[in-house]
Parts: sequence; C-alpha cells; structure tokens
Amino acid sequence: MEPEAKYTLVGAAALILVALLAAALVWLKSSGEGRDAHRFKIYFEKHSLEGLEPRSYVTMQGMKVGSVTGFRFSASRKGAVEVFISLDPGTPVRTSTTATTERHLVTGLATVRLANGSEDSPLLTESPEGEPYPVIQEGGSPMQQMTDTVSQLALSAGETMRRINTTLAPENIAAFTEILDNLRRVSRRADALLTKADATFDSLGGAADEVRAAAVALKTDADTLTKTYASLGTDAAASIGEIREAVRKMSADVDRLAKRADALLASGDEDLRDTARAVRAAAEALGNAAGRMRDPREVIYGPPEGGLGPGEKTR
Amino acid sequence: MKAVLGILLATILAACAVPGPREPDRYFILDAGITAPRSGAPVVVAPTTAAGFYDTQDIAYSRAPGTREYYRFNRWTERPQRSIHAQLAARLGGGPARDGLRLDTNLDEIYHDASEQPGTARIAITAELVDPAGRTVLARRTFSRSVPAASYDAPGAVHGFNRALAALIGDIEAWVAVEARPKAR
Repeated sequence: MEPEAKYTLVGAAALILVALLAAALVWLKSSGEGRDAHRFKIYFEKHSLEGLEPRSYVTMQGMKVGSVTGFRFSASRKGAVEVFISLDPGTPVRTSTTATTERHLVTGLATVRLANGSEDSPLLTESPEGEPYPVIQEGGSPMQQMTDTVSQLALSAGETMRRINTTLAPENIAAFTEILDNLRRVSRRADALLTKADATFDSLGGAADEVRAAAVALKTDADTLTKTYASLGTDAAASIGEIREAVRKMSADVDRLAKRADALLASGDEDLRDTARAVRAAAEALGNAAGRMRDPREVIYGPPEGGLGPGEKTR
Repeated sequence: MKAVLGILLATILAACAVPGPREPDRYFILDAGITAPRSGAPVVVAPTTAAGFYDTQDIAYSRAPGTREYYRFNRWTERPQRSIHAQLAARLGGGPARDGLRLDTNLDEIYHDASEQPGTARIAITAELVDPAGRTVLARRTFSRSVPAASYDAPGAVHGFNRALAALIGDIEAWVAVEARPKAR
C-alpha cells in the first residue's frame, strides 16, 4: 500500500512539471522575439560590425526596441553584410528610417541604432522584390555621426553651445565647413577618424570639435568604469578581468586624446586653447581613473610582496 | 552538524584573508616656488610633454640602476609635466608673445633614486627653442638636476624634487635668455 501511494505522487509531480515547461515554452515563443515581432533587413557597407552579435540590442531614441537575429555576408552586394533584426510590434520604422552601429568604448559590444529621418514619412511595411523582409537603409558614416554629436551637444549644453558658437564665428565658419567636408570625404571608418585628425592637425577647428565629441563619450565611459569599480568589492571575481581588459583598451584612446589636446593647447587661438584645456582635464580624469584600476586586485588584497616604495608600509 | 561546522570554519578563514587597514594615500604638489615672471622678453611656453613612464600621477623611484617602479600610496596631485609647464609658463611666459619664440620642453625623467639612503631626487628636461615663423629649432639642450632627498621616503623625495625643479627652471631661464637674445625685441 505504502509504495503505490508514492508512485502516484511522483507521477503527478512529473506531469505538473512537464505541463509547466510546456506552458513556459509557449509563453516565451509568443512574447519578445516570437511570432508578433517584426523582422527587417539591413545592408551594412560603411559601418564596422565589430562587436555585433546575435541578440545584440537594436535601439531607437535610446530605447531597446528589438534585437539582432543574425547576419551574413551578402551574396548580392559586394562588400556588404546583411543584418537581420527583429523589432517589437509598434516600433515606428518608416521609409526614412536609417540604421547605424554604435560600439561601447568599454565593453566593445555593438548595438544597431535606428533613427527616423522624418516622422511624416510612411511606415516601412513593404519588402522589396527578392527580399524576404523590408529593408532599412544604412545611415551615415561614423564621421557624420560625429558631426551630429557636435550638433546635439550644441543643443543640450549651454556652455558647449557657447564655445561652438564662438568657434563657428563668421571668420571661422568657412574654414570649419571646408574641414568638415574634407573629413566627410576621407573618413569611412571610426578607426580612421583618429588618424585623419592627426594628419590634418593644422585644421584646428575640425580637430577641436572631434576631440570635444570624443571627450563627451569618454566622460560617459569614465562614469561607467567608476561605477563598475565601485561595485568591485561585491563582485570581485567577475569584474576584475573585465575591468582590466577595458582599461587596457581604453588607455590608447586616452593617450591619443591627450596628445591632440596638447597640440591644441600650443595653438594661438585662445578659444580653442580654452576648449582644449577642458578636454585635456577630462582626458586626464579618465586616465587617472584608468590608472587607479590598473590592478584592481591590489585594492582588495593590497600590493604584492616587496612592491612597496621606500618608507611605505601596510599597517 | 558537520556542514555547519564546515561553513563556520570557511567563514573564519575568509575573514582572516581580508587585509587590514593600510597606509592612506597621500598626494603631493610639485612646486618649485615660482612667484614672478622674469624680466626678459617672454616666450610662448608650449605644454610640456613627458616620457611615457612618467606621464602619470604616480611618483617613480629606482632601487637599482636601470630599473624604475612606482610608489603605491604616494602620488602627485597632477601629472608632473603639467606642474612643470605651469611653472615654466609663469616664469618665462609673462605676456603676449605671438611673434616671439616658442619653448618646447619634454620631461625625460623624474624619479627618486633610492639605491642608497636617503636617495636623490633626479629630474631631466629637454628644451628646444623654436622659431615658429621660420619653423626652425634655434637651440636644443637637455637639463638635469639631482638634489639629495630629505628622507628615505616619498615626502623626502618630493622635497628634493621641488628644489631640483627650482634649480632646473633657473637653468632653462638663463639658457633662454642667452639663446633668445638675437630674436628679442
């Protein structure tokens, strides 16, 4: 009598678990990236896809609206990569929508950013002939994004706006425009951007804006690093390796930024020098943060044996 | 019961592994005590650059020839080349010199030679006097100064650095006065 009662209990429990598992699968399938999601395709030719992975985020106006479902080299367009994305229902993808990639300086992970050129344009629903999904156009090159960043800064930050406006005084605006045009023509990839700015450094106006935009990104990443660093004590094992790698990657950017700021400081234009000083300070702040994180293990466990300087001692 | 004892033992061991309090970080100002500009014609002082190892807030020292290390708990308030540039500019700049000469400087070395007690504060700077109009280097020279540290530790070394820098800026000032004479107006 006793053994039969236990078998019944075990069998019932097993059935309940199987039913719950099935329900969970159905629920997962029907939500998120399931059948309600809208799929689109993007041909990327100008943007580097380094750091892009399946399930990477797709964002619009800063919000996550979907994810990358796959990518492959294009057989129909030479040099292009086809990226497939799945978007939440209700995401307003229009015919004027463009896609660009953004890469986080610290983690190196890339996201696909969607932006609507005009909110009045019709929704993108039709698939072109021969395409399984509607195709979103690729956005501007990284250099154009950089100039967009400068424009956004001008709108959002009063102090930055004042400086940019001064830089764009009538006597400078022609040269500034020419410099930007030159940079737009030549710059195709983000990596080439730094090299180009160095090579044309006598064009101080363009370089100043480029440096300023880079500084804004670096400040954000410095904040992220600082927060990660603060949480090191609670998540030491997972964070140490990540932070050291991030700092290693970032140090080269800091060095380049600081060198260009130094060169700007040597110029005779007082406004540019003023801007460069601010940028230099930001770069140094970041460098100092990176320096403190050079070996986070030491923060927890102290310097290695024999690693103390003259007169230094642990209590 | 055994599991509880095991967890208790592991907790005690983990607590022992946590390091105790250590010496607090200290920050030092590299200050040569420059108070007034010199009397000669000013030059444009370009930002001082630095060799990669010294381009940091960490204070460097050396216990053996050919080696360098950083102090762990003692640092500069800002990178040394920034302090050096500010003090060079305060001493040699002093006013507009748009059509004048430019002084480029590079911090080659700044470290506490701690191979013997109390050690020596050593600074080396390479200076170039440049004519921006002609894009020519008029003169180039490496200056170095060594001053005994006041004590065998970072505060003693910083005391030596400050004195060494004051002497070194004096050297550069005298050199600029001689080299810039034909261009002075």
